[in-house]
Amino acid sequence: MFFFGKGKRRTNPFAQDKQSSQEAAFSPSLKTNLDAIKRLLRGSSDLTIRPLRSPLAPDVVMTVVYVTKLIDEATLNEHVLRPLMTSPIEAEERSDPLVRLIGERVIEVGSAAIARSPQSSASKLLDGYCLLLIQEAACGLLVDISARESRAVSEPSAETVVRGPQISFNESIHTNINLLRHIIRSPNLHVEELEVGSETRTRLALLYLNGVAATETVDTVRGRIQAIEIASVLESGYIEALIQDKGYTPFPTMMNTERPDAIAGGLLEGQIAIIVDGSPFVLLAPVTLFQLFQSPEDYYNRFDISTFLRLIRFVSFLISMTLPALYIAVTTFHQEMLPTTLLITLAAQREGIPFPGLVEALLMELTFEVLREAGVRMPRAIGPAISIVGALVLGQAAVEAGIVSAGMVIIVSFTAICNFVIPQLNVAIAARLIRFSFMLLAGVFGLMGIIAGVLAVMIHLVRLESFGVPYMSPLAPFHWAGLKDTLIRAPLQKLIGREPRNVFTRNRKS
Amino acid sequence: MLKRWLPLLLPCTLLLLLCGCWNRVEMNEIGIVSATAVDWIDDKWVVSYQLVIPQAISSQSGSSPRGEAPVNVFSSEGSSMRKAIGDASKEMSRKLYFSHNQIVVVSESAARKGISTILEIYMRNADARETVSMFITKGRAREMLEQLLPIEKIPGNAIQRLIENEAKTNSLYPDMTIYRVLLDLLGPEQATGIPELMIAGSRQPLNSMEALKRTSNQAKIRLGDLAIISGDQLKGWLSQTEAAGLVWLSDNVNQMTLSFDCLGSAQEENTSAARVVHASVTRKPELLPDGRVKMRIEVKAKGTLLEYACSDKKIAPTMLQKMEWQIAEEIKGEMEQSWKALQRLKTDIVGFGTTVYRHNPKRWKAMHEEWNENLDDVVLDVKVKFSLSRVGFSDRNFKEVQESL
Repeated sequence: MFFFGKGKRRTNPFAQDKQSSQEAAFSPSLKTNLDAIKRLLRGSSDLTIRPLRSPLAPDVVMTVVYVTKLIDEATLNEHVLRPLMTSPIEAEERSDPLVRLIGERVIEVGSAAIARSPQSSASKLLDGYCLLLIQEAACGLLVDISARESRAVSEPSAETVVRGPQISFNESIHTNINLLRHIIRSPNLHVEELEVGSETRTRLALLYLNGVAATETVDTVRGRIQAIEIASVLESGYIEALIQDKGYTPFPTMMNTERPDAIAGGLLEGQIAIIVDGSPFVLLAPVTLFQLFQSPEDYYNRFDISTFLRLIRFVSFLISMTLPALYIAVTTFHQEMLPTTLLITLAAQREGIPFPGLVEALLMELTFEVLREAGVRMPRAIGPAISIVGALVLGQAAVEAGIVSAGMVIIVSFTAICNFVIPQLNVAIAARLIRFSFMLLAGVFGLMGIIAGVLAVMIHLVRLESFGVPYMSPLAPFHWAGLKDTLIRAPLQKLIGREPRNVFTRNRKS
Repeated sequence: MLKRWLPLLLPCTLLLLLCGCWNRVEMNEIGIVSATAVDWIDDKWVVSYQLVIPQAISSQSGSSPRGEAPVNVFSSEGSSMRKAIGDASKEMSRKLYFSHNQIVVVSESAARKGISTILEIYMRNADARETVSMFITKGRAREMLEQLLPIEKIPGNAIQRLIENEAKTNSLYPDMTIYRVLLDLLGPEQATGIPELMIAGSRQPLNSMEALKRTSNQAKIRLGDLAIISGDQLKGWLSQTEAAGLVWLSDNVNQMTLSFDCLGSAQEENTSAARVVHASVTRKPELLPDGRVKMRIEVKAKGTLLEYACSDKKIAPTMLQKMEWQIAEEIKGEMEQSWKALQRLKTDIVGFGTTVYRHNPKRWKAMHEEWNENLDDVVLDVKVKFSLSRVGFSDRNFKEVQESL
């Protein structure tokens, strides 16, 4: 299913034929043209060729070519075939070429265009067009009658909000652009369609707000997308991986969301959205770390509530990275830091536990990660079974059997819950990865190790860039006005009318 | 990229293992000491430890059988204290952990020998905390560690809370942490007072869980006299009544309850009580022409009437003033009594020397050698002003109300 061959090395059917026949145009011979199309589509059996005669020119043989499963039969019958066969137009206008006449006056479909070569026509046929070929005419007529299977627009499943639009993107690029155009009804919303993947020829749309998004960022994103050489693109994750800034980082430098309001918010702030056909997750770039902690709901709620919730998220993020490490460090290196009563309670729990603190913590953390993965992967119907096994057997029984201490179970569970608070899943995963290295550092060096680890992460974060925007802005580099919407969310009156927040809109290098 | 970094990363990871986890110690490998006691027996230091048994304390049942004593006391001896502590490993399966030590009890014999050894240890070592409260006891110090206290689970902890509570609500004795002892003994007077810990009641010890099963106990741990240390040795004892004025003299009053006589004092003494809620003491030394030092002490205190047992018809404003004067006299009396006791012991533990030093460092240099010896020459000039801010809901005592009906 997944193959990642480099596109240019694989044989591209259309490109190769183009080279051999030197931009071969349609020939006047209908048979030659049909043969060319058949050859280009490798004689695929779902290619339908339907000859017909039209009252427009009773003596001329015409052929409608299409790929059966890709077109809408009703449209073909009602708006292409019937007008062709019952057209009332008399032959006095024969002065015009027949193809143009049909295109302009007969076909009742929105999109119809003259095709000049079999190559371009063949690729359009695979997009759900039908091709009308006419004897003695050295061109064809491409009519868009494509039909797409797509899921209805539904509620977001990965990012839920209590207040706010309950709608999410689906797999169709058309639906997704439609949803965004409905939110931002400005002519400034610019949509650029691109195609990536030599085999999948995945449709991709670049959206940005003219005059708000920094032009060189748009150019960078477009350039990086065009430079992609890959055979297949099955999800927006491919694009994210291929166009993000170079250098390893566990933190995401692009945001993905299935919420149209979140994308619209980003576009209005000067970010660039990338919609990939076939994925309900739309990419947003550039991003800063703080943006990944924001939920669209922050702007729909009262500012004080939103500020509180944001602070909770940041604290949870820190806890989910460091709490098990702190626990290990304090209980195995710095017992003097604990209040006496707490120390004695914890020491009592540890009596008879066979493993050192670090091993105990790693054991529990790994168990939890396995449980979580099982929860995501398993069929819905077995869900309750896993939760019973996870909660009762692993949690309670492990404590009662004296294999892990109750304190450790509390720490691991709280860490896990804190991790769920982070709105962006990929930041949460980054925190999980970092947590393990912090735990090892804490087990070896105690608090000293954690401090070293935290410093390393900080340095890494400050050095990160997302499409030229510093990842930690507006904190580093410091930008006072930007802070109104970073750790806190200032009242809306304070946010509107300010200079465009940021980082995304400023033309940096010019 | 991985190929380039792996050869570098792998040795670094292995290096981490080399350090052997540094000074890692698991919580079930340490013996938490909650109190220590120091005795001087047969020319040897005997150090006793009150070791907490966590399972017996934690509410988490399961592994521990009920009724197990929460602490275990054992001793080790040596010619030096740290050697004695080191030798404890001969009879203890766990590493002794002193960071949570709450109190140190020193026996009278050890205190007469000199507490400098103990203070030296606390100054030098990182694991010995200077927030530990110090006590002197007249008997064997180890006995104090063996006592259990009702309600409280860890006796060492409880005793520290006892002295903290006392210092805060009654301010008879200060909480003498090692830090304060160091400060006093290294100060100009080189003297301090340390509360005594004693077992009151019958000498039937409270050293088993059985003893705690009854509602009242024959014996009880409590604070006794005040040990006066001069230099580093025990100089003598002040009884509680003698020590009562020290807080005023040394400006350490927080809150306290005083009892006082009725006016005219025809009736039995000290039947009424007032609570001091706020007090300020100013101490000013004055160098008299004949070379003696005069200490001017001005006390301003505020309080409320708690209990009134005098047979006056009604508390009138004029009487209030007399009552205030009466209380002030009471305070003054306590201060003078304490001062006499200090003069007897020739130890200035209230910090008069410090005030002189701050007032006139040059003169202090000349007199500090003889300061404690010449304490008799210091003239005390005490002025006390007490004001009652409230008398409570009633303006006469109950009996008067009953009779007036």
